[in-house]
Amino acid sequence: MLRKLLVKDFVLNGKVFLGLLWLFVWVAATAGKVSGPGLAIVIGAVAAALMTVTLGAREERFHAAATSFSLPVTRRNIVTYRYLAGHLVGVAAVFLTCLIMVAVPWSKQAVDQVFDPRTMMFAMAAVSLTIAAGMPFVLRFGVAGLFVGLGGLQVLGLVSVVAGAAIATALATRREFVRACEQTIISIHQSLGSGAYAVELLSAIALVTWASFRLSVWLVERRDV
Amino acid sequence: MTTDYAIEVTGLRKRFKGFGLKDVTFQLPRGYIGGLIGPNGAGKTTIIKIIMNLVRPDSGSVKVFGLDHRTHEVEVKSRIGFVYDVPGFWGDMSLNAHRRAIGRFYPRWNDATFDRLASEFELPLNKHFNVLSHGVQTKFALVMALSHDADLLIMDEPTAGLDPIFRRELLQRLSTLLQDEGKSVLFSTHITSDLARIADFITLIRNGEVAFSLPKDELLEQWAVARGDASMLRRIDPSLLRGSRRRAFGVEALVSDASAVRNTLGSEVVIDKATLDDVMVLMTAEDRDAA
Repeated sequence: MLRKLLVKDFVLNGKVFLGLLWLFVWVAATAGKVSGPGLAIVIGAVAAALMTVTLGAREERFHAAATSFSLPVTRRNIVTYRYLAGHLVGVAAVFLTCLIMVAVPWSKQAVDQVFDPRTMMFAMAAVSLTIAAGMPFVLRFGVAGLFVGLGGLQVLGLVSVVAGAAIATALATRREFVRACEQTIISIHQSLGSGAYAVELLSAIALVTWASFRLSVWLVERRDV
Repeated sequence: MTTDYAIEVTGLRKRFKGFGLKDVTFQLPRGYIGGLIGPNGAGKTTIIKIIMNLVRPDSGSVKVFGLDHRTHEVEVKSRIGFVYDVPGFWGDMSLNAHRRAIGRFYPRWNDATFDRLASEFELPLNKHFNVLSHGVQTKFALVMALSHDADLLIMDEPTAGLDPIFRRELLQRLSTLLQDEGKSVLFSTHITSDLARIADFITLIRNGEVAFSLPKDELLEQWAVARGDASMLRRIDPSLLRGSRRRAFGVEALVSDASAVRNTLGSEVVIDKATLDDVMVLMTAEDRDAA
C-alpha cells in the first residue's frame, strides 16, 4: 500500500520533485565553493523535508484531498506514507547535496569533511525534527496549519526570550545550578564516547517522531475532508 | 459475509455549526439505483461523505455490503466507484497520469475498460485536467469510477452543471450498467427528473432528516397532488398529508394515498399523480416558508 501511495505521489507530483531536484543541484553546486559545508547540507535536508511535508498543498490547491481519502487506503496508511516519504526524500536530498558538493569541478570540499558522520547525523536529525514538527499541522489543517504552527513557535520563542529576560534576576541564583547540569551532561557524553551519543540522539529522534506520528494519526482520523 | 443490502445507513448523527444530520436511516438493496433528493443544504453531500468516510459521524453506523465502512475501509472502498460534484483531481497533470497513479490502488482495475470508456466519452487523455470543461471533468471522474469493476457507484450531484445531452447519456449508461452487470448506485441530486428516469428507490432528505425512503414506483403510483380551496386541507386525513403550499387559486396538498383522498374528497378537488419534483417542492415548502 505504501508503495502505491509513493508511486501516486511521484506520478502526480513529478513536476514538484523535478523542480526540487534542480534546486538541490544548484544549491549543492554553489555550496561546493564555500568553506564549511555542514550548514548547506543541513539547510538542504530541512528544505527537502519541508517540501515533502507541503506536498499536501497541491491536493488542497486542486481540491483533490477528497479523491485521495476516497482511495482504498486507511488514513493511518496515508500518515505512515507521508512520514516515510518525508524521510526518504530527506535522506536522498542529503546524499545528493553531498555528492554534488564534492563532485563539481570547482569543489573546495574534502570527501571526509562532507561525509563527516556528525554532520550526517545532524542533517538527519534536522530532517526528522522538521517532519515531526510540521506534519501534524499540515495533515490536520493543511499548509495554512504549517504556517500557523511555525508562526506559533516563533511567538512562543519570542515570549520565552522576553519572559527569560524579565525573570533573569530571579533566576541568577539558579544559573549556576543549570550550568552544573549542562557540564555534567557534557562530561557524561565525553566519557560515553560518540557511539553512545549517537544512540542517545537516535533514540531521542525516534521518540519525537513516534510521538508526532501518533498525534498525526489521531488528528487525521478525526479530520473531516 | 453476504447481505441483501449494498448500503445500510443507521442512525447517523452529525452536528455542524447551524446544521446537523438527525438519525438518518435508510437502505439500498443490492443491484438497485437509489436516489438521494432534497434541496441544497439538506445534508445529501454530508451523508455521502460519511459513507465514504470523508466525514466522521458523531454517532450511527454505515455498512457497505454488510461490512462496517471504517473497520473494513480498504475492502469497502476498493468496491466503490465515486464521482463527486466537484471532481477533485490534480489540475496540472494529464488524465493518463491519473490513470497510472490511481488505477493501481484497485485490484480489479482494467486498462482496457478505461481505454474503451475514454474513447466512448472522447476524453483527451494527454490533456491536463484543469483545461477541461466541467462536463469533461465529470466524464473523466465517471470513467475512473467505472474502470475498476466497482460493485457500488456513489455519485454526488454528478449531473449538476452538465448539458442535457450528456446528462441523458450518463443516465443511460448507468441504467445499462445495472441491467447488464447488477451493480448498485447511490445518486444524489436536486434535479429530480434525472432520478425519475432511472432510480428504483428515492430517499428525501430534509433539514438533515430522512423525510421518507421508498421505492420510486410506489411513490409515483400512490402519491398525488390534490388542488382545491383552503378547506380541503382540514378534510384530508393528517396521516396521508405529506406537505402543502398556498397558491393564488387555493392550496396544493401532497398526499401519500391518492385513492383514499379521492374517495374522501370526491370531485371537489383536482387530483393528479405526483412527480418527484412535486414531492420535493411540496415536502420542503413549509421549510422554505419558515426560512
